Amino acid sequence: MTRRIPIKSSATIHLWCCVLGFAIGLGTAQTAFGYEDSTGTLVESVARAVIERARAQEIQTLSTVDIETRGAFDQGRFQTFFTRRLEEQLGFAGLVAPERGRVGQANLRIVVSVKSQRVWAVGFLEPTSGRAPIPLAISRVLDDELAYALGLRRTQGANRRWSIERMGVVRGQVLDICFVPIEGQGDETLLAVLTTDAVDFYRQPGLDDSLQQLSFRHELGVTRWPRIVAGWMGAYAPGKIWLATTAADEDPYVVDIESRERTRAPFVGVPVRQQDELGSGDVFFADRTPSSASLRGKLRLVGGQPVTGAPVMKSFRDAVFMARDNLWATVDADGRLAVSAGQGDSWDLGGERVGDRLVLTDLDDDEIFELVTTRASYQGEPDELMIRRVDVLSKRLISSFRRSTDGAIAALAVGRFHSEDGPAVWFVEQDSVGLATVWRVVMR
Amino acid sequence: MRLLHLITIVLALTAGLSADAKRLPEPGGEVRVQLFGSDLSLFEQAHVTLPLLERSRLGGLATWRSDVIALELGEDTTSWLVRAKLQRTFVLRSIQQCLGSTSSAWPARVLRAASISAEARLSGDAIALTFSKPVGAAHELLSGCWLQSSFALGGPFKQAGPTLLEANKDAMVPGPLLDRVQMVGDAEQAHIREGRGEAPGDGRVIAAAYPDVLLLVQRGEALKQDVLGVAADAEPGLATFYRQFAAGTLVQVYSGGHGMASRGVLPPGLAEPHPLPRVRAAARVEPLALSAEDRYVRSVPVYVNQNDRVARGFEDRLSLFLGSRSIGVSRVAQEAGARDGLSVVRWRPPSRDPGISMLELMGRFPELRVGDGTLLLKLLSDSRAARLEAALEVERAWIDSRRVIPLATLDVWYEVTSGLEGVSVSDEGVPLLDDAFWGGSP
Repeated sequence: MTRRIPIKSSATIHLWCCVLGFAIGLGTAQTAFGYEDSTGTLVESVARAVIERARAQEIQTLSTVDIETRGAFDQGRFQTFFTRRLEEQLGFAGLVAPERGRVGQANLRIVVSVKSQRVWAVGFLEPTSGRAPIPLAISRVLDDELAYALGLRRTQGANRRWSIERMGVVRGQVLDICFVPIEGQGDETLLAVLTTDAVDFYRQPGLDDSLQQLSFRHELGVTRWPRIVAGWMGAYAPGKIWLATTAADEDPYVVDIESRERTRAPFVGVPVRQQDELGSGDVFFADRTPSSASLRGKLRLVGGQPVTGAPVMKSFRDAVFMARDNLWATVDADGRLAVSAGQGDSWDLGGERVGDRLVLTDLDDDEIFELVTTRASYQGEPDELMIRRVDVLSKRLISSFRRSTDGAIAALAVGRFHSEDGPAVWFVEQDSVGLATVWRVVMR
Repeated sequence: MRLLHLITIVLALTAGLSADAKRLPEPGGEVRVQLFGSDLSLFEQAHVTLPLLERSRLGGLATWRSDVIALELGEDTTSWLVRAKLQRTFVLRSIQQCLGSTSSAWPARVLRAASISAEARLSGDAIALTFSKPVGAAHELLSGCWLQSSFALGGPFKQAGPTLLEANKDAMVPGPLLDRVQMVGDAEQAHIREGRGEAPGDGRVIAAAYPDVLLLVQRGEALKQDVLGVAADAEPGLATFYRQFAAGTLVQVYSGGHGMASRGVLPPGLAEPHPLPRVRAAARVEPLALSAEDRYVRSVPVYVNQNDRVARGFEDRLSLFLGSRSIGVSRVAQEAGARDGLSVVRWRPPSRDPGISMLELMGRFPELRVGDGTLLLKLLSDSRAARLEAALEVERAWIDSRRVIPLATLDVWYEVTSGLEGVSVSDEGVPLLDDAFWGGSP
């Protein structure tokens, strides 16, 4: 794909040109533009190479700048993080600011590609005078930050870097968490935390800020729990949580965050969340099994109608649907993990057992889903978060990330607080003294 | 190493369930249990009814919880107020049956050993519990009392036949995860069986929080005449006795190594590590001198529970030891028959509390009463540190006077079939199945 930059004129360019020249002279070009990230370094290297070669050839202005990408770049991100920055820097140097009516002295052609875990920008400065083209070749190591900025869909062998971050502490014995979009609040989303006492709500002011608890909490009012204590939540509409627990004599109900009212659920169903890679998506519903954490029955939509193509499951703990590949991942009542194409064609996963909850997301934006599970261990044993790529071709789950935890992983969710956040897995690690730590796993 | 291995398994298996288990168990299924004698009745009691108070750990702190009562201190530790969470008359009757002067329950024996009487009566909307002397450890005491009521108000299981327990849907506590518990006589059929000899190869073993203690109790004439030659200045002396007795070897032989030789009465789990009376042996200890002919100058009555294989093994060794001193053994069938003799006693402390446990042993052997009333009351003090201090004083007095010669600790353990999770062992030493479940398919 080729993008041609229209040449613009700016009154401030000449001033900046002096600044740039001074900066280059001092050898501080890398920070002259304030870009200190990996992408900025790549762009500045390319810009510096172009400027130096142009000066050597006494080229004052460029006629055209053609930038082409080879590989799985996200064109939107590439334009934002590379093309515009390069345009800006060449503009500062005066190369793309010809006086009106004046023809440039060269064309710039660059091809950006990825090879051997490096990003390469290779091209020519082609003088319009007919002189020989002047080559340039710049490369930088393809790190996670650069890959993310350029929207590169990375291959399995790429050097991934997972980041696990502590986001806050919540009180109580956590049963479930889910993200709840709020109606009429821009893109604000809350994290709902279901404990044996209440549902508490948290917001995150900024991408890396700790969670802040809201003053509103919904008290469950449960006085008698059975021996199996479990709960499920799903935001089926903005500001509305469908809530079900194993508490005796407690039918599922809906909590409206805005009106703070509790209303009876349209039918007796347990929410089974289906997130897409950004944390939104449908909520399916299943039937409860008394005094058990297992679900049963046909999966239904919020209107009560059955989910088309859903597998028939005898007794299960969780199920997620991968629409693009028409695959279902399920955990049965015995904790066996299964992946199948609807009614048949199950993958052979060796009867592996996992924890009760599954989530699905595309954390590294390579259009390959990651299935997130915990270990099939009970309280008192260390737990583990496992992220595995769903390899449709080989029909295997390929381990991508594992992290042991001291406490039990009590809840899992995929979501984000703000639209500009990347996809993330959130989980709650419960300790033995009634404190729970909220963690976020992202790929950086 | 073996003990460490055992403890590790116990910790893993006895962890209770709660909401934060990432894999929650699936209810259902049946478990078959093989138990004998008094353990069988203790097991049934622990499952079909409820203790008035239970130990619990909240936020790492030991505390008390109850589905039945709330216990409040009155004006002083002689008067307590019991607030019933269900019909008061049930609770009142349960307390009276437990602490009454003719009761065989261990809390009553403890009170009798300290010469304390208890009275419970309705008082307004509560029950007034009055002791004749201060009892600070009332919580510990009432944890040994059980609710005497109909099954509908009882524990997680109900009796559905002479050997069958079924989940009690009307229980006061959350229902169990298992549907049924069947008592069986055949060890091969059992999913849980009492541990004997070597542990199974796959390591599926659970153990109680503290072991049994094997003691040699000397009373009356036997003590006076020092038939063992273990008195303070006597020959060969207590240290030589220990060496020649070789309790560690006997534990290996008769108990599959599940225990160890011990010179203390208070086992680990009841008392923190503490110094014991120092005894010195001669530089060279001769092996026991035994003759093919019985040339006994006299005999001494000895009691041992004939159903206890390990205790019988120790008693055999005791008879050899006595034989080497030309003293014969006359075995008696009842403990009372050894008032002037020796008893090989397997003692299971009824509580994790050192003071209460020492009083319980005194209740069993009145000859073990020591000190004045002050020391006995200190064993029931409201401070655990004070109770432990008093218990250590009693232990030292028993050992110094040679009334009690500690021999060994014996682990209380059970074999559990693979796949059965959540089984724990009560302070009484019986398996608890309230939280048990089948890890795979039931």
